[in-house]
Amino acid sequence: MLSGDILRPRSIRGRLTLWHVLLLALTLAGYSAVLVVSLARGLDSGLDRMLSDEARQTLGVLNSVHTDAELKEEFRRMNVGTVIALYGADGQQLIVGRTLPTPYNRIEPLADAPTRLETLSLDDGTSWRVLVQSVEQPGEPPRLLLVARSAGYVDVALGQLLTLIAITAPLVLLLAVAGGIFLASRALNPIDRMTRTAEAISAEDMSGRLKLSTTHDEVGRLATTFDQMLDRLDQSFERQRRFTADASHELRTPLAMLVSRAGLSLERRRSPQEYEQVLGEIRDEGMRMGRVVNDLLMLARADAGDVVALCERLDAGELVGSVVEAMTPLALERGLELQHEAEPGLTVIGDQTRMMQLLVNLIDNALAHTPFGGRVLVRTSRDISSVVIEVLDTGTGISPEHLPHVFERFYRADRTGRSRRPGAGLGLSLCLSIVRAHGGDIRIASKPGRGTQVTVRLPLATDVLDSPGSKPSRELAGQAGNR
Amino acid sequence: MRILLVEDELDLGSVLKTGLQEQGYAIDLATQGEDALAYASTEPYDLVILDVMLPDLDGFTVCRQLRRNGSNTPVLMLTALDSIEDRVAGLDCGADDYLAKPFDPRELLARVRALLRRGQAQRDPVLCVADIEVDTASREVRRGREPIELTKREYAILELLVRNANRVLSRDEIAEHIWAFDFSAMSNVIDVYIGNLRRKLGDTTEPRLLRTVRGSGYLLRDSGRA
Repeated sequence: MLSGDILRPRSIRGRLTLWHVLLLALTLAGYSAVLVVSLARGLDSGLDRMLSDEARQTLGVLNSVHTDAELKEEFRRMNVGTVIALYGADGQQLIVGRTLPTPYNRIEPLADAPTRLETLSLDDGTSWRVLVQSVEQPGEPPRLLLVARSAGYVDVALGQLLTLIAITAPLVLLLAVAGGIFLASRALNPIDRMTRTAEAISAEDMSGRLKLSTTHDEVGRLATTFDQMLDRLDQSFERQRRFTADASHELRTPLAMLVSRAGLSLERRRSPQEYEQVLGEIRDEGMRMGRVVNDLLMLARADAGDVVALCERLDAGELVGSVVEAMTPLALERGLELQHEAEPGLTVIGDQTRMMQLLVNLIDNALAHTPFGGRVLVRTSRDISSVVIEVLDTGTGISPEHLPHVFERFYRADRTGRSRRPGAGLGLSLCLSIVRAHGGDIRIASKPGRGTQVTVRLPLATDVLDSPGSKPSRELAGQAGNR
Repeated sequence: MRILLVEDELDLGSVLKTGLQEQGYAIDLATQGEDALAYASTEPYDLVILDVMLPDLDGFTVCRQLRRNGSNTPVLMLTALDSIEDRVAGLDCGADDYLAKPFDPRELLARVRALLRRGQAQRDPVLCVADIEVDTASREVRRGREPIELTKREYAILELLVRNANRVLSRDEIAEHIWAFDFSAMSNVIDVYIGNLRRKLGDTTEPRLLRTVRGSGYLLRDSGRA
């Protein structure tokens, strides 16, 4: 269990360090093995060369010295640390320079090779390297020459090397662990910071940011992306907060009015006419609230993608024309000119009522913000595969600081407003929802003092391909399935 | 015509809602019996389509409660239970018709049309006012012998006006019967629809069949004369 946990650490830091150390240990082991093997080989071959050199010298001596006593003396003088001995062809010892370890009192005769090399380990722990060579001299019977040296220093050298490795390798590995932890921490520290920042962020306080953008490596880029995501979330939470605040304000005002009216009239008995008047006022406020609630409900539906109830093929020019016609009396009442120019034969697919709501809202807005004597023009035209509906007025316009916000819910350019128009600043948001639900887009451009232009683009319906109503039905069915 | 659809199974509810909407009906979808009773107490539905199996109250209870509250709105029960006892229980608790699942959507739509006729004490699917003929089965409209092309919503408003001929309908009443909950500030839109109907019916010269009654609403009269 425990070893399993160690081999499978749960932090990247641990895993990185573990791999780091494992790899280094493997490298170190391989390297040490190569070192030991090649050192042993080098030492062995050096010893063998030395033995064959001495054998050659000894053969020279054999040619010049003849008596056994002289030979014995020569053998002893020749080289300190080297044992030289002469044997008969049957392996029986003849002359020996120095005392040989007991097994060499007699040796195995040579089989068929002219030389033999062997290593002898003795009971006292020493080891010997032994060269046996046949000697053939004219006038002498064939004999065997033995040259031997202690191989102890090879063992000592290898032993020292192994000791060195055994001491240094753990130290190096220890350093590697420390280095690995250090490096992994360095690389992963920003991620820990990100974790802490993310933990500290909530819907109430979204101010925390990583601000690691100075580094441009992978982690830096991740941090930047993370910060950007937080910005977007923050904005969306902010909009949500403002929306909730505005919505409750819009509902609380008429509600307060309603409660105080009712409370006031209950303070004492009143005449039926007075009751009638108060009840009328209460009804009006209630209806105002009802409108706000309905608009909010529609926006909520729009957010859920459920705005289009009934899709049909609609003639764009006819649709716009009918709304313009219905609104002409209102325009005349305000001393405005309302005109319609339409390219014939343009078809869109949509919900007729929603389209009318959209156009009524846009034209009503234009009429409301155009002073007496002005002009509102509604133009329907085709642009490649879109139907373009423009509403142009010669009105007061919208100042640039308000322009980007006019589609936001409850946003009012004239907060101190002269006329509290119904709809509570939801009109253009509704328009936006309707246009989007029909796969189109809406834009607004304005010059203060000169006028405003609202441009709606809707997909042009192709002749037979789209069967009316099929697309929204599928959307509705899909949503129901996902819920 | 505005219909309250009570169905707790969201898939089926959504399919039925879409199908009915495509016929031009305004649909409010309730998924619980309590919701259904609350909706029905505030909105003037022309028909209630009621599933028997609901998470809170069962359909029989909802139907009995509706009748106890004095509602005469036709009720069509939908159920997977198809025994004689269930049909009898359903009809006895005040339902007007009974449809067993699974059903063909065409049969549902036909029964809806039939029940809407019954609610109006009307047998002939073709309604006539002056020389305007509205075939509620095929949804075709003719004036004189001329067929008139209407959008589905225009048809729905005309059918409502024809069913209530010689009675002034306020804009609120029209809105309540034609659209579901989330349509608001409709008065301008209703004016646009009325304009469309007048133009398409050729009702552009005085005295009009489809009249505006100042301050109250609209009135479809049997004859052009006062």
